[in-house]
Amino acid sequence: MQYIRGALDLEAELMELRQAIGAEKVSTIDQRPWREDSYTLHAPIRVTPTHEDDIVRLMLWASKHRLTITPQGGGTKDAMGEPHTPDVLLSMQHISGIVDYSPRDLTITVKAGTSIEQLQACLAEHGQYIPLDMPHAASSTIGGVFSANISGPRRAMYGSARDYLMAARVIYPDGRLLRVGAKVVKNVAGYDMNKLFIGAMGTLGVLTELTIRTRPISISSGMVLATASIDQLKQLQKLLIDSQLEPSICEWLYGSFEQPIGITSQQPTVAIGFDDVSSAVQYQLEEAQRLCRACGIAEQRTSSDKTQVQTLYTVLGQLLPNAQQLEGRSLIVEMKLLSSIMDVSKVFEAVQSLAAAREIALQFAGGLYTGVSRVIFEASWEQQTEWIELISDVQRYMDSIQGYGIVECAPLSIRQKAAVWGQSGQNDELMKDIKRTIDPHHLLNAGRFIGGM
Amino acid sequence: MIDAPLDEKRKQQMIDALSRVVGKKSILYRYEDVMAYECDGYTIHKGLPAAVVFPSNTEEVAAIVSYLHQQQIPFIPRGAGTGLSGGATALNGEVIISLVRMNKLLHVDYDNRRAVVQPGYINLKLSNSIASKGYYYAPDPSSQATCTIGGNVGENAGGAHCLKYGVTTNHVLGLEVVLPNGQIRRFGGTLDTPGYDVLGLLTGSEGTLAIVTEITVRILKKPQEVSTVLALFDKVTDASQAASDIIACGIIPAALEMMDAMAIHGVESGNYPVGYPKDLAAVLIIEVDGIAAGLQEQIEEIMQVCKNHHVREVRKAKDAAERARWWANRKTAFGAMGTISPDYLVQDGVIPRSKLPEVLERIGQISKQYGLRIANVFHAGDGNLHPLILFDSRVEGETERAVEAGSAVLKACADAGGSITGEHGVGVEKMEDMRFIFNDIEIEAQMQLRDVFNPNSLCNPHKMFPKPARCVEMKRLSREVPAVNI
Repeated sequence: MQYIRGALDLEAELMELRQAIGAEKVSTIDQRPWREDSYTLHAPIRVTPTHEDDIVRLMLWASKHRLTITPQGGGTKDAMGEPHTPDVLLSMQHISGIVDYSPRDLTITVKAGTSIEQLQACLAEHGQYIPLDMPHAASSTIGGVFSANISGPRRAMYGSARDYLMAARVIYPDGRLLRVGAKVVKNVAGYDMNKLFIGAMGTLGVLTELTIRTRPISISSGMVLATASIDQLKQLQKLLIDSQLEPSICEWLYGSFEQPIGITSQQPTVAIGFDDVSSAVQYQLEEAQRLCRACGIAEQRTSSDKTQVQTLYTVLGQLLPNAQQLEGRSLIVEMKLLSSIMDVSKVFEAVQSLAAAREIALQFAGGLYTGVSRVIFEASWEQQTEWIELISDVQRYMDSIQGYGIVECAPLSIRQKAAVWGQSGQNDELMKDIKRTIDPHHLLNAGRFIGGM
Repeated sequence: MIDAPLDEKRKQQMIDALSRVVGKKSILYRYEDVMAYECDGYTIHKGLPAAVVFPSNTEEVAAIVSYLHQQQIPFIPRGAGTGLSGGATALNGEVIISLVRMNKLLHVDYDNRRAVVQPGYINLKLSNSIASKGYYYAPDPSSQATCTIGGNVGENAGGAHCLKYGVTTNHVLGLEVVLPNGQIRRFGGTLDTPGYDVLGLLTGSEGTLAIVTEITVRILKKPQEVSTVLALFDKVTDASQAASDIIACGIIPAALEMMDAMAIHGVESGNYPVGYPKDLAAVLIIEVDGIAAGLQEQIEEIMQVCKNHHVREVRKAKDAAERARWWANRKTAFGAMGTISPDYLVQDGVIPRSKLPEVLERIGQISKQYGLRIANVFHAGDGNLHPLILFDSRVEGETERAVEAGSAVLKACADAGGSITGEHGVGVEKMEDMRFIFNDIEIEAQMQLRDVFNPNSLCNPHKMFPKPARCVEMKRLSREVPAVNI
């Protein structure tokens, strides 16, 4: 695949842009062919603004010339969404830094291109953090995390991006700069516009600044890892849900993990983690062990070593592949599977049998308190045709249990053929109306989102 | 849209048409009958609806809305009418669609920790119905004994315990709604359903985007133990510093409430006096919950923080009965003001917690400036203030002065980097105050979104947004659209 328009065709327009924001922020790559096995995004023009005003000018320029723009943070989610061919890749990496941090208010305001590593390091100095599992911390940006609605195992206790975003600055495709929300923990003035931009994949506006709730890092942590049969795990899940335990993670894990976290066998393992004051952690670890035994689960490992627990959190948080690091490896497809809490076990059984039939290996992490599961399939490139079938079978199964299966990461060749966002739904038209209202010329992430938006 | 009261003939046609949908007994239209619907919990603005219609299921709501849409007659959804910003008040003779007869608990799914309710189902009833199995519904507005969950969704209601557990939007998992054109739609169902978060946008939209006809909410297992501390202070600044420090030291209490001297005077004259000393400047109620083994540690730390700030007396509730007494006193605070003032106006500004001392001082100045007493009772942990402006509507000009003082309080909150409303909504009351925190472009962007769902603004018109904002847009449009010669 070639670019629809190469940079050479746009020389006059580019001159205008260079004048508007500075030549050093605009670079071009001409006629780079797209590779079918690619996980990364490319565009003939790359713009690296250093200030919000640059983005406003870029938007006005793009609107005028009807050029399409895809904002990008660290590029870890490049392989998410329908294949699309933007004219401009808008790198947010230099829109970076802490704007305002008020530890006493448990809130922080950061620019969208700030890396997760920088953000968490700043919070850690005051014993705080943002409890969303945000993988690939060195390259992932906070704007990217919220735009892709990334969540991980700690969601069981702490919720997801929508529970943390309080306010944001957004630039609309026509160059309008808006403030949405308010920089306080509770606010109902006007519509809750924050919600629109979370998980919208940058299709409605460019987030330039976010105000986020923070949390104190808990004093103590502990975990139980228990290897069990599926029936035992189902029983355990019921007992846990009906108990007063307050796990910060409760995941059903299967597959081999890169770092040693104590999961060795090929049998599913349940990981139950707790964050609290030490007496409460200790009590809950004992209770969790008791519940495991009540289900006949003998093989358990317990740790209240904070570093070990952190390692587990990190490893589980890193399950989501980084699109920048997949090229040259075997074929990897990651799907997010959404179901009710009690259906997680069924989902696991279904995807396991669908993959086994095609001799495709899988890694699975299912949230036993959330109903959010991730499956990562891995196989050789020769099996490509079977992939499309596998994805649609998984989606059909999710549909049959009133759930959803979304392809969150796959190479271009797979995304060209699969229904990345699953089947179209009753609400697609309404969503398209929202998109049309804000981005009538489809300039932002054109074609990448649900329903070809 | 018909933006004036209907003439008698059209009104009669409408009543006949709606009667065919819901039956003659489920519609009110006589003056004496609709009088009870002239306002909600915000009583300063009043207006009579053309009719009040009581559907009993989603299909009836859809049929009513389809008819009104076809006739371009505006309408307003209404729950229990406990709203505090006038969101359910008919300003131009709209038809009120009351959802109080859709009041069933449809389904409880304990295994998946969720419950499905109709919009007219009362908030507290849900917690009561599932209590025997050890579950509850977390959002607990002070009006929870009478307010409906549909209304809670409309307003994105909060409550004393949302400091730890979040507000309504954090607990809504799915919605069935009737759009202003009569179409029935469902949103949510699982977490992270693909597409834009319409569920999140609808929650708190004050009935201006759709009418909620069914709600799936998250239910929680009751915490293993609850522990409550009462701290009495001689200085307001000490109490607010203590509130701020408790959060800053890493404890997230389930609730952290504060009342000042005037509020204490009010609640002590009400139906649930606690027996607070007469010369007290402020009281804090701090509640922690969770795993029993961990609570004592937190309680000790909280008590230490209070002692660091010269607390006069601090003690733990000795049992559930004592805790219930403290809460009854606090949760009936608004009503109790009736015993010390003929009228009151409650505000709902939010500020960053760390700004509590300075904003409270500013409110004191506003009280002096307008010559009106202001009682402060609020969610200190969230920085959500509820200044109660006490006035007497029989004294000429005092109502207007109270409204102005309220606006001044909101301005002070906005100036401190906060918001004009944390849980009561904008409604009619704070439309103009929206300008304290949003500029014309930002207001217009919100109105454009409203138009996606509610293009003719038939559903709850003239609410939430200041009036002239549209003028800016109209002006711009008129520039863009070539002039037509007549």
